[in-house]
Amino acid sequence: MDTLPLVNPYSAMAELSKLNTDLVSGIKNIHVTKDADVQIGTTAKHEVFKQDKVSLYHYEPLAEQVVSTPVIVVYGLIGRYTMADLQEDRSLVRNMLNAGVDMYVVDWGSPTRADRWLTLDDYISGYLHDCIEHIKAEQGVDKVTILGICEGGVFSICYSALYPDNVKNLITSITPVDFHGDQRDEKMSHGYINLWSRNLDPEDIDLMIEAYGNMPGELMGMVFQLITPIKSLTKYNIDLINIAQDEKKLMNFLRMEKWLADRPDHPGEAAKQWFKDLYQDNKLIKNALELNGQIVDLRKVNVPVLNVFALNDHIIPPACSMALRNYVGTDDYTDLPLPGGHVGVFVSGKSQGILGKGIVDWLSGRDT
Amino acid sequence: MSKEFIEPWQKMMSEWEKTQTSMNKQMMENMQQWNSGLKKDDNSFYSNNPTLDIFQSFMQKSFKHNPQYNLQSSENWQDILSAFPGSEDLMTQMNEMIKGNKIVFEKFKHDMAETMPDDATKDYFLSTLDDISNPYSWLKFSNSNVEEGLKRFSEGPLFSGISDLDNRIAKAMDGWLELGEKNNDYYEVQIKSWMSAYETFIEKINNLSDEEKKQISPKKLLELWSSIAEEELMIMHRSSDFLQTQKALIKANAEYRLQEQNVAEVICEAMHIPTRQEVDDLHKTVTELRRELRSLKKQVTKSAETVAAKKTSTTTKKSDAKTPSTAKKPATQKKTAEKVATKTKIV
Repeated sequence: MDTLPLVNPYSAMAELSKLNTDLVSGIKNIHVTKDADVQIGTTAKHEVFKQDKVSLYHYEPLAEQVVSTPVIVVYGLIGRYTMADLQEDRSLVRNMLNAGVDMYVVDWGSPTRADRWLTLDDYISGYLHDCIEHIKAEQGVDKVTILGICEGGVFSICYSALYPDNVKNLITSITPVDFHGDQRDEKMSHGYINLWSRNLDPEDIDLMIEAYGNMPGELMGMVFQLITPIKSLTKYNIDLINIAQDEKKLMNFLRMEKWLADRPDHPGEAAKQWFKDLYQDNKLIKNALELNGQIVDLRKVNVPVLNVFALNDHIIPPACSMALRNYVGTDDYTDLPLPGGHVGVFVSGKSQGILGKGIVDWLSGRDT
Repeated sequence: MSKEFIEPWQKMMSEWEKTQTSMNKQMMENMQQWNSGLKKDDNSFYSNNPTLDIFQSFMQKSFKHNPQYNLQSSENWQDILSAFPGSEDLMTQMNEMIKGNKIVFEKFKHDMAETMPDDATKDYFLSTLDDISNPYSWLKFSNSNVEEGLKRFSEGPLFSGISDLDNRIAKAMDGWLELGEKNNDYYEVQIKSWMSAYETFIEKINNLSDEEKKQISPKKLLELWSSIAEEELMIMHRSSDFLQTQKALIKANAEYRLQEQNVAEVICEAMHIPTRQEVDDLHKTVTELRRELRSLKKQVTKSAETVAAKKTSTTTKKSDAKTPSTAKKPATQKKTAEKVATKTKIV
């Protein structure tokens, strides 16, 4: 009979000793680190417009402006725009500013139950439209370039279809377009949010919003954790111990944690539209989504489009994003596939040189 | 209290104490046996770190005393436990204790039943004692009997004599029990998956070659376990069983929260505090008013731009008629229109 393959005692001792050393130095590093030391979204900017909880910020230039059309960064309501400016050496915003692009960003604020009744119409035809009108007036320009991220990408597509006169170029990144596209993706880790959303009955979503007012950020956080359960479970007791003794790695880890912890609640009525109209009924590609009494017709997106997506994105599977090509009306359409995952596209060391440069090169050719 | 009542209790407690003492003694002996094993068989292993020394001795002992120890995926915890030295005696002791307790309890039941005035009371007494002594019936009681009673109350017809608050509390209790039940279903699906991951893990390590067994380190073992568990749980999270039980749990959670809100509404009203519903209605009105305001602002801006454009156009025409060379450029017209529009902006 075989003996129990416990472990080699010598390697066990070596690993235990290393673990002890890592723990001691790691705990020391964590102990001296204060929340105030962990800063994200630090690129200098100032508020130029505010309406209710929504703020529009203008970034301070870091180089001479070479792209004349200002760019507005539009993040979604799940998560926060700071992902595009996580830290100095991992910041899409900073990379673009350094390349001479004039940048703005919309911060949707932290919705509370008082914002329960806000719809996608309010965010797209209301707040976003007013922000863009403000930039136009401030800069004396007729159009802006929109850079939408994730759910913000959907806002940007809808805005471009409804207000084409205000849009010079459209850049979408890690944006779901075909919300059932996950069914064409064979990777098991991909598309859990799609599956989870479709599994709920429309009445369940209404009931949740009735009970909580908004779609709780905490609930969405829990669903994200279910995508890769063991990785989520071992984040602090294995991953953190492995990197905590390295100050730089620890700070990168903590910055990411800070971004993840800042998960605002999604306003209730907008959440109903997001999950029922889009995730369940896939109305965007059917040209059936109605905002402010108008149908969002993707064929009306006639501006140049750059579509950035991550090849290993388990939150928005590539197939969901790539579908945009088939539905927009423009002939000037470019895909920019990048290695990595949903967040990695913005924050990984590898993508820093590719993403910012790719966008700026594309913009430069379309700035006349 | 009567002697007939106290005596069986005293006997039972005495028996229980005896078995506990015996068990404690056995456990102490086992501990001593383990402790005696902590001697330096191989000096090369030892450091000045007492924690490491204990760990090393434990590892050595495991290898030395348990070469036959082989976990099979089908084995249960009793089999695993029985592989450790001294555990057989411990198990015997535990079984003896359980048996002893059962005999004492049966005697107690019999003695007490004899004191009952009639057969009906006796039967009722015995069945109640059976329920008390059977853990399964506790589960049945909490999940079914209480729930049924509450449901009868909360789903039954409304009686004017029973206060609104009582009805709402009953419904909330009902919701709480429903939530507990859905929670159990949810965890049951998860436990099955963890067990399956465990079985796969054991199977994998049993199938390792001798060479692989020599090489394996705790880190590799952990990595193996993590990858197996990750895959098992990912499959489970995408299974119909999990998705359905999770959906039911989310629904039960939301329903309970609303029932809780219903109770709070009555209390808020009584205490002159605005209710959740009233505040929600108020927010709805504010949101609708904001929409109206935004729409009006746009209309006013648009009208102002039209008026400004018309005005500029008239002025230009007049200027053109007098001195054609001083006509304004279109860009200036736009700026004038914007200026007027900005001025008329409602803040």
